[in-house]
This record gives sequence, structure tokens and C-alpha cells, in this order.
Amino acid sequence: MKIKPYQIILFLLLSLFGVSLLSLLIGSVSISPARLLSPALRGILFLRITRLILATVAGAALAVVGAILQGLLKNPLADPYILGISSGSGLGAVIAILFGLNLTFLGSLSLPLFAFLAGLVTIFLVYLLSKKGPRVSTEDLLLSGVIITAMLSGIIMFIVSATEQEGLHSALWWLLGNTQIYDLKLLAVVSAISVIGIVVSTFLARNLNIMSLGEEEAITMGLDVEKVKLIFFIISSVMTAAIVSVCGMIGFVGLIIPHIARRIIGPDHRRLIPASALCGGIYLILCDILARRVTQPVELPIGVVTAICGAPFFILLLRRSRRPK
Amino acid sequence: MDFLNVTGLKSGYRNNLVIRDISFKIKKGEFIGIIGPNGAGKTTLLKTLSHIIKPIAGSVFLEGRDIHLLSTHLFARKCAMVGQDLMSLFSFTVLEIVLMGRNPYLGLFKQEQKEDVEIVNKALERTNMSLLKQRPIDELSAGERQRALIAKALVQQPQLLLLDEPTAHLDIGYQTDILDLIKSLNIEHQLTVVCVLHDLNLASQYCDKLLLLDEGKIIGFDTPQEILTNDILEQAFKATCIVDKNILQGKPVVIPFSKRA
Repeated sequence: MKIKPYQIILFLLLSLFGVSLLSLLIGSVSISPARLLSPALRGILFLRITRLILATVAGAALAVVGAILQGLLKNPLADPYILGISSGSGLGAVIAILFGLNLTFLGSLSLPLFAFLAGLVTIFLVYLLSKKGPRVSTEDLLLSGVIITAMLSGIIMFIVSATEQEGLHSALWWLLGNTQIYDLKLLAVVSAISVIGIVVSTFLARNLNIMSLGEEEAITMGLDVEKVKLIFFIISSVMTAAIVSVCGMIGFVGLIIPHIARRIIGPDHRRLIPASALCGGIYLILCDILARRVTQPVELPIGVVTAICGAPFFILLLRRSRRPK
Repeated sequence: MDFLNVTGLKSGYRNNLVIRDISFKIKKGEFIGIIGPNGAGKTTLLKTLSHIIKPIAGSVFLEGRDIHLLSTHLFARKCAMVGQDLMSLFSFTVLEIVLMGRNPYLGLFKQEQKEDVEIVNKALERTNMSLLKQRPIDELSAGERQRALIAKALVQQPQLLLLDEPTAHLDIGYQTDILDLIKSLNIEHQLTVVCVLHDLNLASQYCDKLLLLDEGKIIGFDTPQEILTNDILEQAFKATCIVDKNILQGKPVVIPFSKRA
């Protein structure tokens, strides 16, 4: 029996729904459904819902950006951070945390805003570095991304090591990723950016298929490769910067989920992008549950969990067959 | 009016002029072979004809229109290209790959329609690939993959087909199989073919005319009988050859000859 793509998507949707329920019921302490709905626990329910939404959106967005960049750069090792956005946002956030940069009119939004803008400035720099005349070389994009990341990470380490203990913990905590969010408007903005990004890239995904065959091949098939590169570059930069600015660096999701999704549903990006979004959401929700449960009462940074759980799972998958026939 | 008219073409890469001022004309329905030693500029010429690189000077006119003034999208409806092989990072199926050839007829956001699938199915039938259409492209043999790539080029519904050493990785059975397929498309559809070939004997058998390039210039552009002679081959390839005649067709046969003998 051949499983149809829409059946896979349906199955993933149901799984997403299932793990969402699970995540609401077992946070750092398990609560029965009846008690969770009681008015006394409304605060907890609210926290768990916002956290669930952020984990879903972040997982989905990171996985989709990973899928886009792997196709666009023709590189199976590409992930949302490969072009240097994480180090840029990280540096912005560390500066904001350690130098107590609180622009009064922005209040608690100053950290995410600063991280978001720093991320975009960095990626723009990487873009300029790899632009030769009217063309942008994808090899140079990768190289400049790696170099800028190395340099900015060095600066982050320098700042962190040269500061007092207090700020250090919150900076490190931020760098390792988290899914806590208290500002509803911020959550709405980040969710909107992610959802729009995922939908638009799904509709543009046919171009990504052609792009993944190689640039010269794509040109002879009538694709305006520079335009397509620029569009996907903007979409993935804005999505990544938005997620990083509220969640910090959640690694590994953007690298492994597209590979897993490709094994489940095939390489056509029109199906791969939605499937990656769903798998990414499911994966991050599960990791978030683990992050809260494993070392109770202390919570683990979610970036730690995604990497530790993701690697063995991925190795297992690599050893299995290539593509469902 | 000539179908393809190349005038004063100079092309190459940054600081490296490869094609040095060449001009030639091709009639509709001709099968042209581009031959020449390594580094002569064959691939650069093909890339310039296919919109991949822009010329430094001169123009390429296709039915009287300068191709480099056309958008890449529109040009791909008139001209398709088949390379040596396709190294796809992801294992798309044959059907998925051939469907991508409809891109010149689709806008950025548009998806393939029923007509596109019909055109693709016809091309798969024509290239004898219908039975393999659900197979991942990277699991095919090199010869089957070339057939798939020709199908992909066909669904672009081009008038000009460019090929860059399409038989480079193939055994002799598939070399003639692929070139026979191209020749029959050339005859059936009046499809003009420009094909870079390394194998002079294949070039001799299939091409109406041969364009011999050396150091970015045209050494000769004529029928195989006129081009494949001892003197010209010695001059261009610095190779001693025995040139004989194919007893079936009367076309030249070139046998490279060891300098040690």
C-alpha cells in the first residue's frame, strides 16, 4: 500500500495535536485535565499555553528555514544559523543583557528587538560580503557566514568572560535557548512572522526544487536565480532573527528535522516545507517537555535537550533506507 | 533570416577572455557539432548561447532577436540545455524532475496544471521513460538519466537544443542511443541542435556541420568531410591521426595514432 502525502500530513497534524495536549498536562508538575481548567490554575494554564505556542512556532520556523537553506545552498549541512544570524543576534542580546540596555520606552521588548536588529544587520553584512556585481555566490555566502559566526562568537565569549557573575547566568541561559515568553504581543508578532514565512515559502517552493538542481541548470530552465535567492534569503533571515530574538539559540532542529521530513515525504519542497514545519513543532514540544521534567525542579535550557536527543535519533535514521518507495 | 546568428561574440570570465571575437550562422533544423581541444572554449560558448553567462561584446540573435535582451524566463521557452549529467542533492523522481522543465511557462507562485502533466507524459513516452517515471533520478543508470534530462528539455518546447557532451559518461551502446534520440527529435520537430562533442567519430556521424574551435577562435565551420582532415586535426589537436572513411555512410573516421609507434 502506498501512503499518500496528504495522509502523512494528516498524521503529523494529529501527532502535533497529541503532543500539544501532553505538553499542557505535564509541565514541571503533572496536572489532571479537570484541575488544569479550574479557575485557580488559570495562571499556570496561561503560561503553559504561551509556552506551547512559542515551542511550536519556533520548532516549525527553524525546521522550515533549515529546509529552505539546504535546498537553496545545495548543502545538507545548512541550518538556520549557518549564515551567521545566531551569532549576530547573540551578540546583540548579550550586549543588551550585560550592559543593562533597557531603552525605557521599549521596556522588556528592548532585548528581543535589539537581538532581532543585530541579527538582521549581521546577515546583511554576510550578504554584502558575498555579492560580486549583480550575483551572489552561494559558496561565498556559506564561507562569509562561517567566518562572521566565528568572529562574533569570539566577541561574545570575550564580553561574557570579562563580566561579573550576575549577568553571566542570564546571558548563558539566553544563549542556550528557552521557550518562556511573558509578552503576548511579542508572541503574536513572532508567530505571525513565522506563519507568514512558512505559507509564502510553501507557495514559492517549486522554485526551490529547481534551485536545488544547481544554479546553471536552473538558469537554463528559465529561473531568475538571483531573484529567487534574494526572496528566500529575506524570508529565512527575518524568520530566524524573529525566533532567535525571543528563544535564543535552539540548535539542531533546523539541521535534522528537514532530513527527517525528507525521508518521510520526499524531497519536493512543496510538501517538504509543511512537513518540516509540523515535524519541527512536534520535536520542539517534546524537547520542551523533557527540558522541564528531566532535572526537576531545575529546568534545562531547551537547546541542550534538542542536541542531546536529536543526534542519536538522526544517526538511527541515517542508517535506515533512503526514501520510502 | 538566419535562425541563429552570432556576431562578434567575445565571452569569458573575469580577467579571462575565452571566446575571442567569433561570428557564425546556423539555419533552422541543422545539427551542429562543436569540437575542439580542451580549453578551446566550447563549454564557454555553449554557456553564452544558453544565457548562463553574458557576453563581453557582440550579440547572439535567435530569429532576429538578441537573446541577452530577453528575460531568462522567456528565453527558456525557446532554448533548452542538456548537460553531461545531473548531480541532484535530493532524490527527486524522474517525473518530478521532468515536471520542473515546465518552469518557463509558470510564474513564481504558479503550480503545474493538467496540461503541463500531459505535456510531461508525452515527453516521457517519446524518450521511452514512462515506465521509469516514479524512480528516483539518482538510482537510474547514466544513460537512463540522460533520457530523463532530454525529456525535461523537451517539455520546455524549445526550438533550439544545446547539449554539452551528452555522451561523456556513457557506454558505446548508450552513446548512439542518446544521439539517435536527439537526431530523430532534430528531424521530426525541425529542432535545431548545437552539441559539444569530444568524440570526433560520433560528431562525424551525427552532425550536419562541425564548428572547430581553438583558443577561442573558429578554425573551421563546415561539413565533417571538410573539417576532419589530417592537416586540420594536426593543427588543432596537435595529434597525429589516421583519417579513413566509414564504409556504410562515407563519413570520415578518425583514429588517433600513437606518436611512439
